[in-house]
Amino acid sequence: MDEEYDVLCDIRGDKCPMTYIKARITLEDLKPQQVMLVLIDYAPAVDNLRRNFTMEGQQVYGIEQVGPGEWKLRVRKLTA
Amino acid sequence: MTLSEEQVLRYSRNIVLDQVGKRGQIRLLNSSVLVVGTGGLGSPVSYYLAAAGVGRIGLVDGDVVDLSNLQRQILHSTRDIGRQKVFSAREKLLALNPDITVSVHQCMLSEENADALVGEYDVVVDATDNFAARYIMNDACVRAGKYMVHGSIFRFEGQVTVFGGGGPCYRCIYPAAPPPDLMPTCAQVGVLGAVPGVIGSIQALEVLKILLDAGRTLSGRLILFNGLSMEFMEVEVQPDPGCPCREGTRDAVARPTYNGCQKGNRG
Repeated sequence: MDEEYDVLCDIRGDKCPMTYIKARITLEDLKPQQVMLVLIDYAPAVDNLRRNFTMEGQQVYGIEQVGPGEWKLRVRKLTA
Repeated sequence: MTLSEEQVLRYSRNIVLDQVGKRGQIRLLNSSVLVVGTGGLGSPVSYYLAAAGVGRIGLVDGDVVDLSNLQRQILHSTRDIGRQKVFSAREKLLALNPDITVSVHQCMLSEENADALVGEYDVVVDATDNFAARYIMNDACVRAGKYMVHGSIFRFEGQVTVFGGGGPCYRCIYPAAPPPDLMPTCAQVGVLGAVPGVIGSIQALEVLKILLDAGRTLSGRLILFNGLSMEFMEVEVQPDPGCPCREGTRDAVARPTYNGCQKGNRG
């Protein structure tokens, strides 16, 4: 079983900027300290999400490639 | 209410703003704004409100499109000459954003219809070009407790402010209209089309801020714009304790106690 998370944001099939927009919309509903697991299959989105959410003061961690052309990462909501 | 995939993409540049987000966008989609006048100011105002996803826009205008309008009234095209402005405007707004509703009121704002029209919407935009309509609109907004986002233009100059929300109303600042003979109309004095573009864009921004409850509105502040010297001046404007709007009841601003919009209704 995967490490715990509060909400899953599956943006496989999406490209930028929709990847970030959808992840952001999903994060909006989380309470502080809750975690969003993001599934991605668009390579540039991995770094974009990491940079964007980090700049916004959220904690991005657990970035890993889970298959050919597929990644996951976690975002812990720190600031509203 | 949730946002569709298409709405997320259409409004993505709104949604990524901290002051908007998903909740703010849904709020805009559930909002309604009455734009009185679909000319030089009403064009940019309603265009930006439609683009932003304000769910229902009401347009009030009884005029038809004239060739001389087109140098500034960017909602209308050459092929619209002779058409009712509200229908020409609705067509453009829905072409820009079919996600919204545009209600047309093919009439001039009057003492008879103002309360009913204003009552239907969350915020009212003054995009008119005459004092009579402004006093009627102001009084209806005061009675209904609605914001009135005011803009006006004159040659290379313009002004913009927000009435309501605890700040002054139009009558607090202008208790009485100047005599008609002293006031040239735009047709007489001219105006460069980009001037209403500037003022109308500010009005649209103020409306969106009010709807989103974001930032600091122009309530209590009047912006005076000079396009020739390219200067913005801010003047503090305060409620007039003697103004009928201060008495605090809807009935305080009585219906036509003033004389044909030429005089204030005090004293």
